[in-house]
Amino acid sequence: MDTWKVGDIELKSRLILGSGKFRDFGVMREAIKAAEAEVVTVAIRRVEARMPGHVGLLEALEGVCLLPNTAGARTAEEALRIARLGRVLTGERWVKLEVIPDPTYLLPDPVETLRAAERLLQEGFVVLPYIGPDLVLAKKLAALGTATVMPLAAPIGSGWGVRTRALLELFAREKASLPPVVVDAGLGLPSHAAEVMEMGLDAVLVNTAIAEAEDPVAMAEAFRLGVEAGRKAYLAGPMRPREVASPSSPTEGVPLGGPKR
Amino acid sequence: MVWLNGEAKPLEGKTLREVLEELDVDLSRVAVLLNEEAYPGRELPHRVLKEGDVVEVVTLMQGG
Repeated sequence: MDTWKVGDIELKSRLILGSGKFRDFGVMREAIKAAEAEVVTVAIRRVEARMPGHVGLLEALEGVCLLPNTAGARTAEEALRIARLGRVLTGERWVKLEVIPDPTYLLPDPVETLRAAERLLQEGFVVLPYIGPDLVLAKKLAALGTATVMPLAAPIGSGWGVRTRALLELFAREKASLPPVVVDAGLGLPSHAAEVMEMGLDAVLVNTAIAEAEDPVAMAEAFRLGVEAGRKAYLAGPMRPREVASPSSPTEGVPLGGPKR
Repeated sequence: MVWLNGEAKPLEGKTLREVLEELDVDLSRVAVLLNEEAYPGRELPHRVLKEGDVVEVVTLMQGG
């Protein structure tokens, strides 16, 4: 069985889903089922008076592991606060750590992320940090003991695909010295997910590309197949590209109706 | 004044539980941050709010 681990949790699915932006809980639930996702992220937000809060959300997410995020945090202190509330709400020790100061590009703050990770680990959290494709930062987080590193493929929600490929290849090369690498953010198509899985990275996290598809359930299935195809291709050992062509048919014995070549 | 979810409100003298009852939220689905301590909605400390307290009442939402 081809499994992977986040902390001490063993997972079969290499597709983590974000729960944001789905038009209703029913579609979200069907999409999770079609994706065969085992882990789904959730956010923590203030309640409004007399608002039902997350009524229906927990029911829609029944049977999957909830991964609370710190989305909305701009500093390490804010991330810590949100993470502690997430732990109380979900009863889970793990947290997807996001510290994002800039709303235009939604790029993670490496300094604040490192600071927050250190504090969260001291408090017993299992930390899954969202980062830029920065191998130096990833190794520092690994040395602290984070359960994963989650480099971005492109800005959150952009659907640009694997724009950071050259730098993600370094993550693949350095796999042995890293915790599981989950490519998070920017994937727009199942082929993007297949691409990073073919590189030997461990998993992907997808939200917008599925939630904003015309048919989110079908797209969730397509992403599942993309992830599975990419993973199988990696395990199968891809051929090495050549500089010139290489015929697939024998070069000898071509019936030319004349002298041998 | 007490800061409740980012707004200054005259809640001094009320208990946390009273504040949550006024918000009319399901206690099993919220968490409360009182200053820097987080509590499940169903396990609130008996605490009378005082001037300058910061209270956040939160719940899970959809998010990526």
